[in-house]
Amino acid sequence: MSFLSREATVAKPGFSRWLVPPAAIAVHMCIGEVYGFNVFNVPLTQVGAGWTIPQVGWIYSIALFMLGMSAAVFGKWVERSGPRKAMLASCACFCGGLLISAIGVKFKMLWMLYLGYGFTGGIGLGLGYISPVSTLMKWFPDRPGMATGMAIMGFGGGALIGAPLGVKLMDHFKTATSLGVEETFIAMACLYAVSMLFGAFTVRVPAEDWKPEGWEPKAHIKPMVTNANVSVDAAWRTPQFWFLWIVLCMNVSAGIGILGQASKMSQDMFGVSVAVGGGFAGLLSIFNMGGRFVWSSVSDIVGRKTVYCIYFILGAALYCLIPYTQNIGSRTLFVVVTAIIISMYGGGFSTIPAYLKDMFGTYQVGAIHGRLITAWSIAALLGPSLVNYISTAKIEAGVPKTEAYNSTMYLMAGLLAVGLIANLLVRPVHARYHLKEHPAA
Amino acid sequence: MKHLRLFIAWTWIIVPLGWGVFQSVQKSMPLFEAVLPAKGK
Repeated sequence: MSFLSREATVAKPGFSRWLVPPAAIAVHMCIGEVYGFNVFNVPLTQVGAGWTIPQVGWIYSIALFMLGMSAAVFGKWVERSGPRKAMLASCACFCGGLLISAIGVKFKMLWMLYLGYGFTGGIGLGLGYISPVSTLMKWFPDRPGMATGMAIMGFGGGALIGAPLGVKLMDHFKTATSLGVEETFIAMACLYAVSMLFGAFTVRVPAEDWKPEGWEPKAHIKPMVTNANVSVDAAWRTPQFWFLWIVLCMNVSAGIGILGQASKMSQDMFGVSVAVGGGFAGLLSIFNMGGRFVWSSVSDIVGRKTVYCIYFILGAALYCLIPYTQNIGSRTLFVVVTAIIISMYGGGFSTIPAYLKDMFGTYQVGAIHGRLITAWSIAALLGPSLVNYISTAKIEAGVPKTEAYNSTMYLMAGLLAVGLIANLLVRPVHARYHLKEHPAA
Repeated sequence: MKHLRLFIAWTWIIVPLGWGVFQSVQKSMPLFEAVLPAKGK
């Protein structure tokens, strides 16, 4: 199996580095399907097994939990094994998970969906998410933010593809006796396997002494960008890691709170129809995807710390503006404000790998990123719960539906203020954590 | 050959992503229809 090893993926002279982003996106746009998995919730309750929405909802929760856990646990293995082996493992787990789930639907065994899409598929998500990160940054030392932004944009794009694809396939396979869910899972597993295999066989790592043509690494670039390397085990013990953990957690908590409730929030605040609410959620998904590329590319110019300051300061101001948009009844302003907020939510995801590279070097940045992703798992629980809990409590206390979200918005601004403080506390990593020798990748 | 590989690789991801964006834009149409008349009021 030597063709899977890191050594076998070293690029030959003349290889174009611009082949690596499509390889990474090909994997990310498949695993990003997890965001669109909710299109299966209602059909799964109608397969005749008596499953309820809360029971089915656990499939998604287990998958996201496993994403964070597997990224944290397998990060070092991914770094050691190289992107091709990691992408193939991701493909086997994610597509295998879909196939196990299809069997679960066929035999009406819910635990097989938890095991399939939730547990096994979730491991595939984590492996696939971190597998191209350090490779991209080694290919694009001159533009690391843009490079990782492209891959992580693919993950956002995966949701735009996965949800309508699932619906269209179910429509295609539906018969008088079946909703077509199991056939859809099998078809998706096959389609995604093709795309992920394309990514795995296209990806290459640069040779040890490779650098972009005409680009010279500066002896010492900027105070917030290190030339040294820190191992994942040492990075875990630095305050910088935990400040960045808080930065990611706060940024994601605030954004996911809006994204998860977008449709309902627009209906409650402006009295729009369900269709318009769905349209609003669709629009935000596009900004979520676009923001991942645009903001991380901007961070290559203005610096990571500055761009996170923009996310937090501008984000907090915009959250405070949302109640005003409701007061004056301006749907247009509401849409513009929330779209900018969600673009920065996406930007927060895609800028963090480059921030980690600036702090800890490229040596084990994928593994460090894997451990930091646990912040996402926490935020995925925190953000939607806060919005849901507070707005429901306000409505029960007699506050009109249109105004029930106002205090939540101020709370989200508060979370961003916490993130801002953590970001401002980020300083260069102390030299005692640096590796003494330059390690081989 | 190098350019052909680049073309195929980028087409491989742009086509599905473009389809996904198109689907989302279509889904967003009711929003634009709701927002634009409101703007004119």
